[in-house]
Amino acid sequence: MGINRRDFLKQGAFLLAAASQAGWISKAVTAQDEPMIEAYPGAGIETWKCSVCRLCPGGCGIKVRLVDGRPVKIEGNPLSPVNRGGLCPAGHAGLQVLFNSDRISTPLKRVGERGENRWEAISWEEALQLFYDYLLKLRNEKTPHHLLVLDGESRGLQKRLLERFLEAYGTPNYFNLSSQEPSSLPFLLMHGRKNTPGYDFQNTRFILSFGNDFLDSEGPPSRMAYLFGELRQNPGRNRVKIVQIDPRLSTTAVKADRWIPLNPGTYGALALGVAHIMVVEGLYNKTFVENHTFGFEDWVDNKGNSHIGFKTLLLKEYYPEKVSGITGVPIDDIIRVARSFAENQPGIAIWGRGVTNHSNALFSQMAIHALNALVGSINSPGGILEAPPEPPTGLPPLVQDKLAQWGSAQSPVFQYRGAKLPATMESLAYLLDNIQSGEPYPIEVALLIHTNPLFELPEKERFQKALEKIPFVVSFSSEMDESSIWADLILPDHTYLEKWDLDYEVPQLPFTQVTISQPIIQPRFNTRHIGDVILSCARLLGGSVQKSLPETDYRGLVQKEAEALFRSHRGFITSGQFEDFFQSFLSRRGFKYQEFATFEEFWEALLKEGSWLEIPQPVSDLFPRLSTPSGKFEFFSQTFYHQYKALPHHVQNVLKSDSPLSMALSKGDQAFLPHFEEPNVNGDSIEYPYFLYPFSILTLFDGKMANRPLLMEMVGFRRNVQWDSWAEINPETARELNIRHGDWIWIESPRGRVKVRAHLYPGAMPGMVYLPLGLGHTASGKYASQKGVNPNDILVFDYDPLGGSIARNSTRVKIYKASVA
Amino acid sequence: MFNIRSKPIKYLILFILLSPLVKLMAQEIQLPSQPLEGQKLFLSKGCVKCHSIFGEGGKVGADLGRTQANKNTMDIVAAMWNHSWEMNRAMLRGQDVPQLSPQEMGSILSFLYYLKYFDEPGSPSEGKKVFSEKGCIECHQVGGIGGKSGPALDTLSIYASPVFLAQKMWNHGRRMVRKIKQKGLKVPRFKDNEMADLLAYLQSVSPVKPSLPRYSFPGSPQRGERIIKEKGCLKCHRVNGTGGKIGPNLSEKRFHEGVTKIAGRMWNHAPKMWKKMEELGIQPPRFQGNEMADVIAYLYFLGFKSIPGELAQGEKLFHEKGCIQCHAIDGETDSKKVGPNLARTKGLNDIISISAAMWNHNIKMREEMKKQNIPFPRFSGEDLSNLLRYIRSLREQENGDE
Repeated sequence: MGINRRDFLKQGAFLLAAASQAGWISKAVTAQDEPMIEAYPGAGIETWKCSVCRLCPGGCGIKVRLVDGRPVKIEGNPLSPVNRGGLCPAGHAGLQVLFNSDRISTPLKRVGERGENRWEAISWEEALQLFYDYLLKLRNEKTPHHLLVLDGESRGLQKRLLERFLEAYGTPNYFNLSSQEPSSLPFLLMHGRKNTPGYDFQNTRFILSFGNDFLDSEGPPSRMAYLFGELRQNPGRNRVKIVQIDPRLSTTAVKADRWIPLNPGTYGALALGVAHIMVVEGLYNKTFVENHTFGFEDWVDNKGNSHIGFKTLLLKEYYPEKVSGITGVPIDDIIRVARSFAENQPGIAIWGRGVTNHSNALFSQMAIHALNALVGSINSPGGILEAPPEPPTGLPPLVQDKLAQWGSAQSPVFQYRGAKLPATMESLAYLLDNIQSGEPYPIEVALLIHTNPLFELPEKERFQKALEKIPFVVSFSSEMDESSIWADLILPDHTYLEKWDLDYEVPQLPFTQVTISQPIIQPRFNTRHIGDVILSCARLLGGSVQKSLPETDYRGLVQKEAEALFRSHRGFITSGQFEDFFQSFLSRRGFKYQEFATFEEFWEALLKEGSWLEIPQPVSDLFPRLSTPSGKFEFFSQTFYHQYKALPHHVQNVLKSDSPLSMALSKGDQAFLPHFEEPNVNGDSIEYPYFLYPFSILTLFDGKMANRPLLMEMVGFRRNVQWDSWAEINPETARELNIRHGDWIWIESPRGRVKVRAHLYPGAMPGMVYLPLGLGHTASGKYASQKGVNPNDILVFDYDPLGGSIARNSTRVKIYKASVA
Repeated sequence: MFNIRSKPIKYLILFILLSPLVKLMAQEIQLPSQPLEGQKLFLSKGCVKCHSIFGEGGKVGADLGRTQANKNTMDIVAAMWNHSWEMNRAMLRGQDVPQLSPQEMGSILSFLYYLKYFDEPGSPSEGKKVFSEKGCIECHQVGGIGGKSGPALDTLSIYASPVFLAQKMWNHGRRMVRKIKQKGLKVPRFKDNEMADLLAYLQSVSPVKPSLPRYSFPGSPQRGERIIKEKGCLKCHRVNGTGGKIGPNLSEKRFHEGVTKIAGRMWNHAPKMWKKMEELGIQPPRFQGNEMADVIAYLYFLGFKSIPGELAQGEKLFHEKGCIQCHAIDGETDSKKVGPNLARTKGLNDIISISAAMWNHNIKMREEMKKQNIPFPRFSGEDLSNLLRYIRSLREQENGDE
């Protein structure tokens, strides 16, 4: 009996649906790798454990369902104040992290040449001794600052532990390599504080988003999705207006009230154009600007020197015709955005990776943040709030011996020629250059903590060369990723579902929360918690290092920190949205109802419910003194200005004439005001006529999630693409190039070329091509490897010289059909 | 055969629903130990699905924080009774009407009433005015601003609750008032939320940022009653008809207000009280721990109980609302009326039990009344008090006749 195509598809669809319902598919996929969750006889007793998702910086609370002690499903924890039960696809795929067959199951010591990927399994005793010997050697040689930590993930207690260890050990070289952390530098320059403030989305009426795809890959994604529903559909409040400014019709742009495409890298100019209209039409909050800001009007310093103010700069330089010419945004749209933002207050102007992926990132961020000050959305409900306080700690006071004090005081290796500017001039570029040159000192030991720079960074050869200069590289990865292959020693960490931790410091939250991570099951392999490795080293090093970290195991430290929460009498254990509201209703009035008689009761509740929450007091109607020199919000950053002026003249001259800052500093006062700098563009515009725009996707983020088959299956679910990359091109551009939907094309830059299928997308701007990040691994497991292309392979390494962020959106390319090549 | 549509049955149901009112005012309401316990029931019984508290919760029904807090029992019961008609309609869309035991009804009523015990958070800008206008600035410094004859107030930012501030002022007040008078200044008096405003100002400008802020525990009316007795307040003050008459009667409505307002009033009252106590040779009471919050909770809860109804008004209502058509009174036999003789009703013993019974039966009653086309009787809190007073008089008369 024959079967035709239609019948085959029908029956196939039916079987697929039935299999999905029965849970066969997930079993089949994982069962290939993991006999542990094959069908087994058991009583079928169901239990749930609360923990926290660590697959992105979102900090979502999760609940893991276990049947007879075996984890079978992850869901969002409805009690979590971050995500209120929501969870993104990556979070749902968490079990494929736990049961991944590509995990490193034991400590490994390199036996071949670096990069050969030849290893010898060793015991933990041997591995720790090896690691400890290097740490001890640096201390014995009075060079503890030759230790470098590159951290791509740590936050909360683990970060606190690492910082404490490095301070006690004696090195200033702790570099955050997370590509997903928002930059807090604008807040330092304009607010006087480096902490990322809280964003009061729940009470806002308008979100003016500059390149922040907050409904997709910028986070915390589950929180933003939950908030989006609240802000747009809750009958008890006005529908929040969203304007998305982005060169790509992203998920957020699709859902926004208005999408405004603009030329890449011109966000700052547009923000200043909007500000210009607000000032000219008198739409800004004059009371706030007059009373709580500095540098809006022209001013004279105490030496009698005149300085231009933000207003003068705006009126002179950022009139609509000019801004429209820079950005490509019609004048009418600039005016409409300005009026709409001013009329719908309170509102927030936010930025995302669309902005920070350019060489002019910092000044663009300052320009966007200036809009918040113009409407008075600083320390006000519905606007930008003070950073919530950190949770209390139970760690003993830091003890530093003389060597540690000296080592910690050395100029970090990631600074530009040791320049001590407030805009710290910390950059990966300086780090790599300095490691290569051995200046101001060599790095002898590097720790790679859950970071994969050889995949995530453009021009990976630069990083590879830097690694080659470092005698001893240790990776804590639990999978053999592209960077770990270049390590000398691998000390595999547990996965987040096997470890104890306390998670906090989720960016942009307007409250303090601590979510507990507890082992869902015992570690499956011979792995070890990175916290336990650090504590072991502290114990072996003894002296002030041990005194600073006296705990013997990380679980004990978690419990001690939890006890500090309990003893602080601050906050409460979350127990639901209404309950949390009511607890905060009481605490804002000075009352506290939820009390636990003993720490044991508190601990039990924390394990059961998942999170501890502290809602800050209501925003004061008395505007607080900010930590800036003027005590006000500074359009003209005196923080930056004073420290620059405090540098010796010859250093100033070097910075002015021969530094990445030369262009900005040559503009006089403008350098300290929000202004527009032309973004760097790499590649000749005639040979490479198109602009390459890599973008992050919800399913893979920076690529660490690529070895999860579930996510690869849905990697391009909005474009109907699985297990592969795609290139978004505007249909008009494609027509000019004679490219059809689905054609194989080459995208070639001065750095190289990648072959990918074309996806014609009307949401792509003409003259641009868009590639998703996260695919194109050459290692990192069988599901990730050789799937799709990695845009970083063809990006030119560029960066923001002041803010330090990688300028991923600065490479020009040419495009042609693969058959032409 | 039993027919629910028959008039006798119909009126029987009406009787069942209305008869609990008989004893409504007969007994005292027991003070709750911790009124916030009712919050759990508010959630578990599903009230939160339709009702909100100060904006948080369901939006189908009224915001009970804004509409019912600080209303007396009869007012809340009347509101529940009156809204049961609309609520049933909303609930028919898929939810069950929550059934409440007398204890649960008591908890929910206490919880709702209690909500306005908590005054609004203080305003730092208003507090700044208070600090200046009340003359605190003359003697005290905060954030480096102010006089130095009194202690600096920076460390008071440790108090999260204005009750602690009030308690501290109360305990140290005599010395403070003496000094104020020596300096020829006016003793500050606080009204409305000024004490919370003052504390909010101190917190906002104080350089001392406490790592262990001191929160107050929500006051317990039961504990407050005990403290009032132990501290000897009843030597001078009258509560529920007992106690002295030297000081104001604490059962008056002006004392059934939020914690900050009452704390302010206690402070205002203190100098006069100290003087009088000195004359009488009584040592002024001092408060520690959570005592002041408990005492204020007790005073607040004195307003939970309804005022006694008026007999004549109750009789009038009994006729106007149509009760007389169904319920026998004054010697008539039960057979002549479809409802039982309310004067002879036995059953529920206290106001909370009666409220719970009314609530639990309202669906059946609604259905029966709809069938019989009988208008739903609506009551104000005062109506209920009056009606019950009248019905109680019928019972008393009946008992007397026996």
